[in-house]
Amino acid sequence: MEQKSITDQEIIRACRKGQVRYQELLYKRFYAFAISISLRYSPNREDALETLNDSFMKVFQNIGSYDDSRPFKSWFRKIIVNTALNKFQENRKYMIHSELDAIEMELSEEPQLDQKLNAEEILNLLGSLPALYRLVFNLYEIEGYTHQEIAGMLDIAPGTSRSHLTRARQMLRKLYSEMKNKPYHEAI
Amino acid sequence: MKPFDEKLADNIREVFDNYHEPFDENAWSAMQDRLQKKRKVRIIPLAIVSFASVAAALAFIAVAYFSWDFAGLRQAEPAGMAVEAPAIEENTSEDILATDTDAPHIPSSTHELPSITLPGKEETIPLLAHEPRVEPVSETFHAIAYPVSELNKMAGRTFPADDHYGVGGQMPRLADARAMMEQRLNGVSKPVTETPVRQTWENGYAWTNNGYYDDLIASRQGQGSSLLLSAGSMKTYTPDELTGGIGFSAGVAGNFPLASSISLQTGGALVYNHFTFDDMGRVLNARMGLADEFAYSDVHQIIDMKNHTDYEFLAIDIPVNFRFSLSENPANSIYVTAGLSSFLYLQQNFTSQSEIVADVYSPGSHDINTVQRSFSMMERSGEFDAFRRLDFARFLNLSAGYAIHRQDRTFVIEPFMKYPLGDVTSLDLNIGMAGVSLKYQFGRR
Repeated sequence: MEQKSITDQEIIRACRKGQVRYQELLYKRFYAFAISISLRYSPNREDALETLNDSFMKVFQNIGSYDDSRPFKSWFRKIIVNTALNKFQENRKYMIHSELDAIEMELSEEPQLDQKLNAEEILNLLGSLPALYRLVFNLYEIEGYTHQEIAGMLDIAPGTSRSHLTRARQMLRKLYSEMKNKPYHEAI
Repeated sequence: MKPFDEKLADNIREVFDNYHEPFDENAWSAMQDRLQKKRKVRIIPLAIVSFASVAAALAFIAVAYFSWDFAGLRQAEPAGMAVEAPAIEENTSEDILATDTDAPHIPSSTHELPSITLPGKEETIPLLAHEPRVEPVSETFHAIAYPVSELNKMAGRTFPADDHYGVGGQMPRLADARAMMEQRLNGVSKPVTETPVRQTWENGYAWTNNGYYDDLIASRQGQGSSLLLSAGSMKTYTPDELTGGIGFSAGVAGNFPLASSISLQTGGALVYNHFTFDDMGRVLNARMGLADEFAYSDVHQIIDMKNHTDYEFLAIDIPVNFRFSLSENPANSIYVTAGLSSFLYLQQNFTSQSEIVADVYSPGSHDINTVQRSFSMMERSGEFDAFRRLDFARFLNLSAGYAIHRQDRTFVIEPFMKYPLGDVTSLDLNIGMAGVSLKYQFGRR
């Protein structure tokens, strides 16, 4: 039974002592937060859960190094993003390079986002992007990293990061248009 | 950025900042498996060490046993001795003096009696002898022939040529000679004092061959140090109970005589201990008390708390003990030791499970509190890094040893106890240990 009276800091202190019950409490408390990030970086839910558990594992292993004076969520977010990047690097050699050129299109007119997308629709869009585009888009648009920083993280040139971002946006526009024109049950 | 891209990015941020989905039990199960696997991995090295310790202890006991048996056989078979040990010849009393050509020349006159340097004294005391008497004895007995140079080396004394003194006995290696002579002469009806050579100190102290050996051995005993290999098993105890589980130790120590019946023993031993206990509040200190962590409610009262802890450690035991000899004779000896041990921990891990029964008070209407009885299970586990903890002189060592001597080897069985002088281990446990050690000592003391 998780009680709200237990603060994050109390849970973290207990986790530092290796207490399994408090590890479970931490996991449950930050599960939604962690999955919301890992889903955006993963092509599917299965991969997202793997990234999530890898990230929690790192938290439990390195919680001794966490600085209490800083927000836990910021630290945890960095761990999740970094785990996703590591996963990408591990799988990079197996990626088919042509994937990046799979969708090459120019839309005659820019689509209008007249209705907000829900989480499922967004994940559908992001999941359809090639892994490198999805990473660059997330890092730049959502996390707020610069191209210089992204280049360092992904071991690519800053110009390549810009190029990937442009292509990712193009693809998202195209995918959004396709999704909008499809019947609802097909779009999902 | 085009409006669509900007709107989409805002949309994504907004949706995922407020994202919530039900907790996935399967994901947590997978996580638990990984955490448990990690804990198991931690234990593997200790398990290997424990098996290695047991194997080492068994190997040690086996080696000691066969070595022991072999020594006994050699002693029972004189012919075998001649191969490695100095020559032992059976002589009649008439040719008691060694006939080996390598043996020192023993004159028949009253000259050339050796002098002796006493331990701790600079000067050389000449041995005065009366007219040597070579009394014929019908029984056969053994004499040991050694070259003078060898005797000098072994006994550490000088044999100056001095015309004033009579015949001296030959000087076999004292430890060997004593053991062998006493055994060989067991069947001789004539008292040992009736052996051919009788000597006296200059001060008139009557000194027979038997006394000669005894005194010299006693003086020599205070000089030599020896090496001990030990292996043992132990049980851990708390103020309330003997814990479950068992521990092992194996190590090496040096024995350094300080006086005729006191020696210093120190060295190092690897100690592996795995034990479990039910804590009634006297084993773990406040750090382990779970009451503080039972913070589910601001207003609660713990009714009962039971704790079961599983602890495992690997440590280096560095003892400094004083050994007091109570009884010393050629065949066996009894001693007691007392001293302090320091433990340097190489690895420690634990799992502690607690059952907590508490009454939780919740404020109700009209100032009436409702009370709910709560049963909770808590588990904590952890490990500590190597060299994180040193329990310096934190155990009082008490033991008693029974030593069985065979020539220059000694086999010892030694029940021991380690009494805690404070909290020990990284969890500050109040535990002690007791067990039995088997020791194999090179050298008689």
